[in-house]
Amino acid sequence: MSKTLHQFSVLDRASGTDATVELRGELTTRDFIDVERSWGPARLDILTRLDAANVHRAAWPESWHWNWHQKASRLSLPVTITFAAWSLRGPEAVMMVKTAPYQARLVPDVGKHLVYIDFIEVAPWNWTVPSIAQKPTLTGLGSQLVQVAVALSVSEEFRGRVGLHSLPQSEAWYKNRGFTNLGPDLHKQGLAYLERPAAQPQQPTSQSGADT
Amino acid sequence: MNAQLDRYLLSGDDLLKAASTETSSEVFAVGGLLCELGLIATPAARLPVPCLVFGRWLELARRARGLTLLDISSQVNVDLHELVRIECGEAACVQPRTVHQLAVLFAVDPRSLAVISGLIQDQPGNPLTGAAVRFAAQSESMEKLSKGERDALNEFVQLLASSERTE
Repeated sequence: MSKTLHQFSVLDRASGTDATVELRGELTTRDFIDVERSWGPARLDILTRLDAANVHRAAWPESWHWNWHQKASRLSLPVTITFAAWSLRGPEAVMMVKTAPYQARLVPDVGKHLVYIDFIEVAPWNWTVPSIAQKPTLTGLGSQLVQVAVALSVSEEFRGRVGLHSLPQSEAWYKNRGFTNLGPDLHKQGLAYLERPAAQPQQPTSQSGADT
Repeated sequence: MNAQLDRYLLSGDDLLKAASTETSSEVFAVGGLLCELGLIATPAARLPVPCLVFGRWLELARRARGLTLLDISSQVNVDLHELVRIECGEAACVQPRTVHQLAVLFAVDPRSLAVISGLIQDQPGNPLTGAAVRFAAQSESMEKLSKGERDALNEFVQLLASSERTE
């Protein structure tokens, strides 16, 4: 079973107040099955509403067909570090990162170790889907999980370096979080590779919005 | 790691500011794992021609036989989601087994189908390349096959069925 590592705050959009979620690590295949059991019906509900509203499939959320149960069965969990944000309702978001074999591409740290974010997804009830007027229940989950990756990078003595391949819609968001866009990577279907440089002392990424 | 989490996790105004930027369902979508698992839908602007051709061929070939994707999924035991992605031209990482099963079902040359699916590299001078592009350009998605679509499909299938092409 997964292990509770910490707690952190996110924003409950309805009340406008902070909500506390658990940060869990070392997720097992069983945990991923629980994620799918919880998210699957909610995802299906959103798809049903999108279909009823005649929303063109190209405008559906990118993750409509992702199935965590299937993914977990094909993952090599021992080489993947997993985190989840968990509330009383269940899993709210999942992140997978790797500490090898990825290396920094950003000068002057080219070739140095970094934490690579392989995947982040939030629960369907935390999606914003304007075409069916759905607003997220909790916000701030993605931001906090990126901070978890930075914290892991620092604790691994990678000085806060984090890399990822962003989907096109997300590039601006990552740039705003202190990541540098190094352009399309032909080995990853042309997705943009972004990297967050080594953290400056006394300047966590919470201030990074001002970097851009 | 706890000390670092205490230092880097957001609170107060920083959290409010960060949360306000999460206005879209895909603001933090990351693609590394999805590429590895072949689950990513490549934007149309970057779609390689083989994805479009393969998808269009599948659609017309099954419609010509009056088959639905569900029929094909059960007949060849291929995941329905993968078939949908192929037909939508989104299957940039198609599975070799799927190509083989479809080749058997529709009685076409597996190697030719592997080429148009983008599974194997096309060879310079292969007449299939030009034919594939013409096929994609001539065929439109409609309820029934028009005479033009049927002619385009027949011509393309003849090429696919032949293994005596220039390699």
